[in-house]
Amino acid sequence: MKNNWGNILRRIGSNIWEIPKESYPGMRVNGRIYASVNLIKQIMGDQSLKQVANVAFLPGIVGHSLAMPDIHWGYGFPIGGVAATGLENGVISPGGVGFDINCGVRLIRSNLKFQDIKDKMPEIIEALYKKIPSGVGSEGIIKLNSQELKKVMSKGAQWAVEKGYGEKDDIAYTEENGRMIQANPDIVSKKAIQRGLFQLGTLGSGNHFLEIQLVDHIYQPEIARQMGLEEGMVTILIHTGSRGFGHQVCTDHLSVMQKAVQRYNINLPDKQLACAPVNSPEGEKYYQAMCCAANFAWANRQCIMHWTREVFSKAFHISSERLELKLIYDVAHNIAKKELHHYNGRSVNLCVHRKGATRAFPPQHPELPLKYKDIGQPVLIPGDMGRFSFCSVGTKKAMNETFGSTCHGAGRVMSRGEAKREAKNRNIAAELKERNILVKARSKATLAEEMSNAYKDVSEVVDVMDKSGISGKVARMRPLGVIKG
Amino acid sequence: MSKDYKVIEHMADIGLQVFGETKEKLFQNAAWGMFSIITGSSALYKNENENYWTIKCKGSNTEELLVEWLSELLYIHSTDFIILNDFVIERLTDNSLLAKTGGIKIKESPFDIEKEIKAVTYHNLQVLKNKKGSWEATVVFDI
Repeated sequence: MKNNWGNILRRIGSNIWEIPKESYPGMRVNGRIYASVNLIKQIMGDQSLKQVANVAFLPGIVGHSLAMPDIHWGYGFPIGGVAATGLENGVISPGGVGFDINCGVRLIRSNLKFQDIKDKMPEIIEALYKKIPSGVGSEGIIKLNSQELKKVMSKGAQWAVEKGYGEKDDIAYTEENGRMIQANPDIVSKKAIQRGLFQLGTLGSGNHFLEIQLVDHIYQPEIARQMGLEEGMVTILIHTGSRGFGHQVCTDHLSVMQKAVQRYNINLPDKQLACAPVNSPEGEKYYQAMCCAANFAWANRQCIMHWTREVFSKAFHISSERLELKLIYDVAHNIAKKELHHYNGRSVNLCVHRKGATRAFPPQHPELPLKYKDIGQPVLIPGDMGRFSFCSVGTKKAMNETFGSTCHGAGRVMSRGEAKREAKNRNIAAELKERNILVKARSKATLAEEMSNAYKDVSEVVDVMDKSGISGKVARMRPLGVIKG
Repeated sequence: MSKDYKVIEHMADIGLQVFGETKEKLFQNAAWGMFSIITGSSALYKNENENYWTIKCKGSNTEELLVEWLSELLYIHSTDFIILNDFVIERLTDNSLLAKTGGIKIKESPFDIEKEIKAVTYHNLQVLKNKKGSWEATVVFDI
């Protein structure tokens, strides 16, 4: 049945729309979507709004079932969805995190300018492509045994730095310091361990990438300066997650949650939303296993950054320290977190699910490193490979309205099949090269599926959150070169 | 052997509509369909496989069992680097399955891996017996 969203949606602000809870019996709270008029029209074209409504069925959901402007049709939760549930009376849902647990992004600055790098780009892209395993089922350079993998699960990015894959400073600029301490490797299945043994330090396939970029516009010069970003600077963006290890953790627990739904008598409109009370044995175990996968992902991005530094160092014949390849920040955009929020005039502990959404904490938040205390948390929003990426900052308004969350990317407008048909007689790599963007990918199919017009315009997405005061734009980067799986 | 399935598009993911005269055939066809998405080819040929696995799964209903079955196959594919092309359902009840599966090493396969399937989802999952008495299923994958 096609929903008549035009009649259901209520516009409550210039960029805010609501699905009243009366629209579907069983919704516990209203749905709330951040989107411009143009974006909401696109959003109405798929089933993601129904998914926003479905999430509102979760027991213990607080505030709204939220959706960011990059929302698109996912499975269970929409991609671009945020849901906070009470720790005492709410549920945790693996579907609210997704299979790629702690898929996320890290941004690295340098002291290089376009003139320094332009002639070396083919060499650097080639070297990165050779050095960093990518593509379907890619195996890493790092071979772990199960004991060592358990250390990765416990220590995350800190494991990587201790092993020499990075600098001490990197940890401070990673969300959660690259390690969720609730991780419990003893409850992770043998299957997940088996899948994790060979995949640390791999980029994977699909929309994951490593991109060399140029900062081409600064919106807030003082904040950008404090982050170490300036116009004309070469930056690097890494987008990947927990690979097959995280996929297996999610698969294992979704199966458990199917039974939990019956056990706790939870009524849901979609089986993929399967969940259990946060404080139930099923809920606790999922959270502890999810933390293991989140830590794996932080170690993964840390290792990839280390090899990126090595490639740059070799290309320029100087140390990465002298190139000032410093981590600006690393954010997770598929994760559930137990966080303290102020809601209805009191402090409450909540389980915040961010599925395709980025944490956006405000200035003075205790989770922030000292350097960002006065400006707020850097928020990294990658676009598609032909357009821009953005760095924004979290705000107090985000804490008040979205449980400290904002958008995470462009969001698809074409299915992969549509994109492939559209790209059939085109040479996407050649088109990008004409625009001075070098692309190296394992598969032509990936290039077609990931082409620019398969995605919303990320600038429009970021603008909605900027105008809504949720995350303020700081810098815009344009791609110079990309490696993809 | 019939390989009766249709690939369905989903915005960020991909799905299968699967048909089978019997439930056993439905499960077999779902497996064929999944590996046709992975390889980008519906012509997975069965040769003399050297690698075989026994699969045992449980589920509280047929739908859950289908997800468990496909997840097991995906696990073998991703840890043993195998393109599975032979699916023998030995015993299938409402909540348990015993099967054998075989395939060839990815390196020795004539197929490239075109798509990484991250996982089998429960989204829009459906298994039903139609009016004609044959089986139909819908399953969505995260890619």
